Amino acid sequence: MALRLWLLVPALLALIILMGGPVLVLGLESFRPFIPGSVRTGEGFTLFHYLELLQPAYLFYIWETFRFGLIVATLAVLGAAPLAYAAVRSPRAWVRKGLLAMLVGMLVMSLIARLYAIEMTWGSNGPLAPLGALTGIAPRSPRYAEVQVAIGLLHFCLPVVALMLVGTFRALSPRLEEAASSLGATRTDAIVSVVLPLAAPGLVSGFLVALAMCISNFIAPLLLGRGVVVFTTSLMYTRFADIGNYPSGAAIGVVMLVLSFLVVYGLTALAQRVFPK
Amino acid sequence: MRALDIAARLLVRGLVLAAVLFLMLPLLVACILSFDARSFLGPFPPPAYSLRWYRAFLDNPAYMDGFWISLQLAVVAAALATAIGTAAALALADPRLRGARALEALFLSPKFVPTVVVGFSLLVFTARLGLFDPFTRLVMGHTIITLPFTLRAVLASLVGLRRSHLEAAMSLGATEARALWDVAVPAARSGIVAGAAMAFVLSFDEVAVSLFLSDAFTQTLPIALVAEMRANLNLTVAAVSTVFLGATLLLLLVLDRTLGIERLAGDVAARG
Amino acid sequence: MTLTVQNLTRRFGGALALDAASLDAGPSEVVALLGPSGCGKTTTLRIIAGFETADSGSIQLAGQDLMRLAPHARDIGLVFQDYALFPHMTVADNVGYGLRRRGQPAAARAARVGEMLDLVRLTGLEKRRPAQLSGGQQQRVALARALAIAPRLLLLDEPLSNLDARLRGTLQTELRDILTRIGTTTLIVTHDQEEALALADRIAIMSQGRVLQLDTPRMVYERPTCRFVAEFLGRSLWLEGALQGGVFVTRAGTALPCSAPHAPGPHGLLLRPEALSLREAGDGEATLPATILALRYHGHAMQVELRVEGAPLTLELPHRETWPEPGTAVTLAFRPEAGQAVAEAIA
Repeated sequence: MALRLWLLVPALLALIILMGGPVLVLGLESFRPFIPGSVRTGEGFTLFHYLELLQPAYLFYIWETFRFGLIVATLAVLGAAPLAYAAVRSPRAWVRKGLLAMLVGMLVMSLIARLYAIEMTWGSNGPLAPLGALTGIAPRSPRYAEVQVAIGLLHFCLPVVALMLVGTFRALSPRLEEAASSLGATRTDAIVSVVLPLAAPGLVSGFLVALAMCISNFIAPLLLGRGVVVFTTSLMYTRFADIGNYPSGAAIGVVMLVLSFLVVYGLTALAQRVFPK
Repeated sequence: MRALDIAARLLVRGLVLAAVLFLMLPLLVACILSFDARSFLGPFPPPAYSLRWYRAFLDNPAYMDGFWISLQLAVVAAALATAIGTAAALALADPRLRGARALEALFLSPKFVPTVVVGFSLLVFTARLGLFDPFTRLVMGHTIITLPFTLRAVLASLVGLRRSHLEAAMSLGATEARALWDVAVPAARSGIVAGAAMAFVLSFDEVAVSLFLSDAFTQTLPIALVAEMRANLNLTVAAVSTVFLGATLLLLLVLDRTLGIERLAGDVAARG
Repeated sequence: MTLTVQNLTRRFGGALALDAASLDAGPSEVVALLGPSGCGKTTTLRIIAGFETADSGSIQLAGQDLMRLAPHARDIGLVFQDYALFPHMTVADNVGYGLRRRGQPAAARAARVGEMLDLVRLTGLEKRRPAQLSGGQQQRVALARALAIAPRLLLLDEPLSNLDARLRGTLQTELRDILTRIGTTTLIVTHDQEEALALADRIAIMSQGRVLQLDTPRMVYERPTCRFVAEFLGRSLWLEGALQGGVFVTRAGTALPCSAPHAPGPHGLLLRPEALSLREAGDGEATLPATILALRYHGHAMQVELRVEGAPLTLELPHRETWPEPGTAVTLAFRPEAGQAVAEAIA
């Protein structure tokens, strides 16, 4: 028994030194005043950086982050479900293998490379620009960055959610659908009345994971946002990199941390109430 | 309602196709553009082809240095995360351990911390401690973000290990430590390898943490790429993208031969 | 090696898993711990093996206090209910594991492994993996592995319970042979009375954390010390009542002959079905009134359900030309020695 406890020590140390300590220091830093033009932070205690976030401009950024997150997460689940279903239930082995290989490959494939590829494909010079224009925003206009960021985030979440749903659909016995069809249900009926309700907890989980991934994603708004799309994540970076305002960055970080935990744990708890597993 | 059913099924097939195209087309486009002979980013398709961007990639010291740094970093971080994660998983898999669930949630929590926050907080923390060496800081950051994945992977593969296996080894003369080494670790072999691989890939591709913890002389490949592209967007990134794509395809081929893609995807799905 | 277990007590939370349980096993003896689930037999085994601790009590093996030793130093062979074969090792590596831990050189190990596989009749399967073996084969490998280290004590936890009924029969005989040949002191935990009766030299009947009786199979069956033991083994008829003078008087007032009881306290009268005949009494025989409830034809015999003084009884009786109708009052005859006054419980 003692041995097992010793085995926990490295992980505990890692958690304390690499996360606990830093987050604590971050919290402390967020209460210090910022001296413009200086790298050093001032002495003392202030709530300024938090209060600043209550201004409409900043609340807007938080709202923007969530807006993108909710839209993309929904699209991700809508797109991932058919993909995952086909990957599990398709009668053709090459379809199943191919889809799964594609999904696993996407996980491994560099996100930065993918984001730039999206820029090249959906941007004003790219072959899919006309398709992007269907959103009502001209590819050449600055606002088009929103479309690109959304596509980038979707590209990021979709494979992850799809693989999660592969697990969900695998857990459902094909006998259930067979039973439904023997009772007279068409394929669509069977899926809507049997598969989807049973897969609901998995779909909700997928949505929550996608949401968490989107709101904490940093690189998509940074690379594709062009200053037009600002997430709290990229805001944090610009605070630090462009202005050197550590305390403000720290405050944003703390807020992000709290929001992130609230989203994940809070919504998960809510989901478990609605869908007792 | 046969007609409705057929329509619905066509719609779903269409959705699947659309999703596949959505995911694959950008990569295909990047691949084609990587051979673009033009020196600027012009409308698709390219009028002529050349290997200039691949040469640009290989000739650029920033990218080559970045590649090296990324490789070393990924190996070290993955090794650390795997060792720590395996040890913790062995402890958590013991049914006698009280609060194992809570501890597991604790060790998995870094997964829910935005990587930006991890990067920034480590920057501030290490600065306070007077630790300025960028490679060490990068190792610290990459280890903590990959730890949840190695832990999960090893824990999942220990599910089949029963207490009776360890007790059998002990009854035959093995101390508890020896029993863990002889019986538990081999049982977790697939999880350890999968976890290490995931950690490696995650570290290699990590941007947010690296962005905060790198400095001008120690940049990871993603950072070098982002820095160059933000200054001057060109098609080198398309060449890089294609190289990554090639590596990924190769990896998938190897994985299919050794493990089988369907089983691997199942494992990945289970380990989240 | 002689094993002596004295007054083992163990609490789990508020519940008493073991209540001053004591037993012993002599050199080369096979003792079965028999009882219903929850009686404490597995806990006893695990404490002896060293994987659980006792709150109080002592365990001595060949005169040495076992409780101060770590499990890996106890030199005890253990065969688990789920066999616990190491999945990533071959059969040979499994069987040789204990020898490797003891530092034996490869040649000696290989020889011993071969010897053990011969003993359990699995020669030729050295290179197989556990997943490729049948249940019966896995069980034999588990046994070979435990015996390879020439342990001072062998512990078997429900050795045959995971096997199907047909296999169980053959393996029972084989196991008995192996145990006799090897001569190691052995403790078998089982809930199956047939198994205990077939394999053991002595049986310890356990209930609620206590050893109620430790004796040869014959004695436990024919001279149970208390009601639980009487009713646990085989089938029985238990009549409530009291001893008066040298005679047992049932609740209904019937006076019946009986043997002298072992223990004090309220008693019941135990009669084994095989001692009862459905007929009038012969010379010197005693009788009991009974009512026939139902008859069921079983080919080779007739199953007769009766009620005797309010207690149910099922008899398997050989073929006869006519049977009394259900509802008829009949008599059961038995020799006076068959009636035993047995204590309700042991203090």
